[in-house]
Amino acid sequence: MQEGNSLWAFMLENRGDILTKTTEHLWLTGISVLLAIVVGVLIGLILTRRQSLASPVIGIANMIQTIPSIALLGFMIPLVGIGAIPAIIALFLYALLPIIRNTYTGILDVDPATKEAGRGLGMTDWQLLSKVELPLALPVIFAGIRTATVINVGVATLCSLIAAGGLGEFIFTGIALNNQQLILTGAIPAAFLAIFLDLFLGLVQNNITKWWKGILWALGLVLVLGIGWQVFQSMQARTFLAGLDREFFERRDGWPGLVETYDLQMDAVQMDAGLMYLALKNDKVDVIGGYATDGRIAAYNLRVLEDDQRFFPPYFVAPLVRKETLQEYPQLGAAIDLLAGKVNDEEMRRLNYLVDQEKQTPEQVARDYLESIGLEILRAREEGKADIVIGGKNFTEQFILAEMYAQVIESYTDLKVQAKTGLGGTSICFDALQNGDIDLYPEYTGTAFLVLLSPPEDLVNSIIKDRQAVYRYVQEQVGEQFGLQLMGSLEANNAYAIMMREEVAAQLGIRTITDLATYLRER
Amino acid sequence: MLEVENLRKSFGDKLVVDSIDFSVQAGEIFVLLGKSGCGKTTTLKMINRLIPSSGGTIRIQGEVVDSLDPVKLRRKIGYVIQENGLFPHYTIAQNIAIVPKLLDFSKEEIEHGTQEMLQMMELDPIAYLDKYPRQLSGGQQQRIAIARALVARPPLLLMDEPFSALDPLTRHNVRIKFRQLVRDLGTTVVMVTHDLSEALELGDRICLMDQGRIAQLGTPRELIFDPASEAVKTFFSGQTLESELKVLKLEDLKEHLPPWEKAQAGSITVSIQDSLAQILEDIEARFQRTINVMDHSGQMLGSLVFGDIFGAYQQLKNLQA
Repeated sequence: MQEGNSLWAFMLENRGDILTKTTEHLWLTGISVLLAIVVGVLIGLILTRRQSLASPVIGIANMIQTIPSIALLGFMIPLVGIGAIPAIIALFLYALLPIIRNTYTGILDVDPATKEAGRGLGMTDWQLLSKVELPLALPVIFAGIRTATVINVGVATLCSLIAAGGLGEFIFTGIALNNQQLILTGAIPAAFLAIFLDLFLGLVQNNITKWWKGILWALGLVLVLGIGWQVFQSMQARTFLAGLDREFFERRDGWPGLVETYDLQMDAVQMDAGLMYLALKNDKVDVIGGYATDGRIAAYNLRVLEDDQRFFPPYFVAPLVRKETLQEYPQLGAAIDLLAGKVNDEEMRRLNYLVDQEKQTPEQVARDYLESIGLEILRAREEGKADIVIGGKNFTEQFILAEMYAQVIESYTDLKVQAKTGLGGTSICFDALQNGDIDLYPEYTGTAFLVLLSPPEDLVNSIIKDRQAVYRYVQEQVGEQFGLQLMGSLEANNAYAIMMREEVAAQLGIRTITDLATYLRER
Repeated sequence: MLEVENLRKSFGDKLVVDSIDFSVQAGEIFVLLGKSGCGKTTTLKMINRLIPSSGGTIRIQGEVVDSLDPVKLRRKIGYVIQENGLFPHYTIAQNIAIVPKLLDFSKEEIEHGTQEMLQMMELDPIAYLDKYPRQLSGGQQQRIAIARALVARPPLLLMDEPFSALDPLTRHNVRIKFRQLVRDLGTTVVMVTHDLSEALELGDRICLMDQGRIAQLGTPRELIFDPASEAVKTFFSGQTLESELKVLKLEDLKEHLPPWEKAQAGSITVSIQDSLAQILEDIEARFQRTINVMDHSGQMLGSLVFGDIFGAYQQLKNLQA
């Protein structure tokens, strides 16, 4: 009850924002479905007249449908960039299949006797189509349109991953920050939108014989104006733009604080952390907020701007382990600490690069590194029941780190290790650790400090820039509050980092974040 | 009215209509009869160009159909198919008005024509105009389909198995009404059927087709009593007596009948133009021995008993043998 009330209060408080996002969502869904209706019905009709084309065309539409949404959005970035246009194109492609297929089968399923009678009475092909085939196929065509619409309301949430806005922003920010209220704030209006659109289409279907002229005009008008507006928007010269993942966008040690500290005057859009690098590489954004050890920094020739005012807190890698596990297996702690003080930023970036760009396996990369620093690593992992379960978040570095710890533990103790990597975010890892589903996972000192412990603000301000102080505070608190042990940290500091394309940075002479802020003010 | 010359149709290598010729007189009911696959439906559909011909000429009222616009051609030819082909999303009124609308008739003309057609088909306009086809029985639907085909008064009506989907009793009633209607309107009819009794009952002339060719063309009586080949005979085998009774009219037995007795009050009355099958049905229904007979103008001729008819039929058969 309490939770319901606070959700309601939260939604009321943010109603303006909800309305904006819902409108964006409706716009993305509506314009893409309208386009798909025009193109899909047309293609469906052509297929009924050229039936030999039907199976290849429907096959292609089917294939498009099977492309994962996020991958399709990724393909769009080099071609059409970020924002509403690639989102609308992707949604349009997803809506095509049900509409083409239902138009085609709907028309073919019209009783052949009825069609023959129509032709025999002297109807032209067009009259037969408009007076007999389309009206009789209408329920089936509408079923396709309604399916496409409901699917698109769902898929449109993903469009926030390429800075197209919509209710997905609430949902994905909520997931990133483990904020149920935010997730529901996006999900509930999306569900209502789907229901509303379905009911609305049902109403249109029932009255189409009365309204069809008005509907056609409205459809044409919305399409022409809508596409015109979108094109006009895209013609506008792009301002200096930052692409940020949503966690960075919201966190107080992220964008808001950075803007304040450096007085950065620039627009920012939210997008997927993975797609962000691609967007920067393809010159669709100018600046991104990434991670200092990311392999793509080298691969895409990016420049990390120096945090000259030391705004970003330290994010040194350090494993969090359950104390129960350490007591049960006393030999474990020493093995884990074999890695303490190893792996610096440069090395971490290279390891990430080997996996991301050179397509080596995390296992291979981890082994090669460990052997290069003189550790003796067993060749093959033993099969059998695991004593220890290692968790990890869902990005490259965590896969490598989990693998390193697993190899070190197996090589230097008699314990068997199982890896459960790819967990979707800090809160999921942390919950799993507390529940005992995993025994340890590589965490970052800054994340543990700010996200897991939520210390009072004055404390944050007083120690946030001190690596040792943060480490000691986290070690003490996770032990007291959660019964966990923070083990020795690596040298790699995967802090947030502001980066630009090397050639642009060089051209503008931007080396530090202060340089960037100055450039933006003087521009 | 309709002349077909050397008409051919092949699908790939297969010749389905093989150089056939026939002509149909104005006002005639002309039946294309045959088993399925004999080419009768293909022939019919070449007349209104639903199927393009592979060769030969079709003329309607002197005009070669291949020289006409197919859409305009079809609007001048009535068309009725077995599954009635009524538009399920149109009311009865809208269904009947399809061709008049295509021909740009005025609203008044359409309304008037629709009502007239329904009355001719003995359907109450008020009760039926706003109904949808699915609310009607099969027989009613088929009558609407006929009304729709005839409302613009086409000189020629093409029908493809129009009564086959109806149950036997309905079929008989619809056929009788149909024949009356086309006689009244003077419409020329070309009808495809595989049903022998339908062909005998309705056809002025029958064109029996077999494997894309005409096996025999003639009146029902010629086909029954003077089959041109073994193939024709085989087609009728098993239904010979029934067929003969259907094609023979009382008039045909006149020279073998005894002199007329005086007409008897209370006995059933038949026309001398009725078929023997029809008269037998009437006797069967009423259990009467004596039958009053009148001529085609309604003049009473006198009476006879069933035995007289049977005797006359035997004599005719003996003569032919």
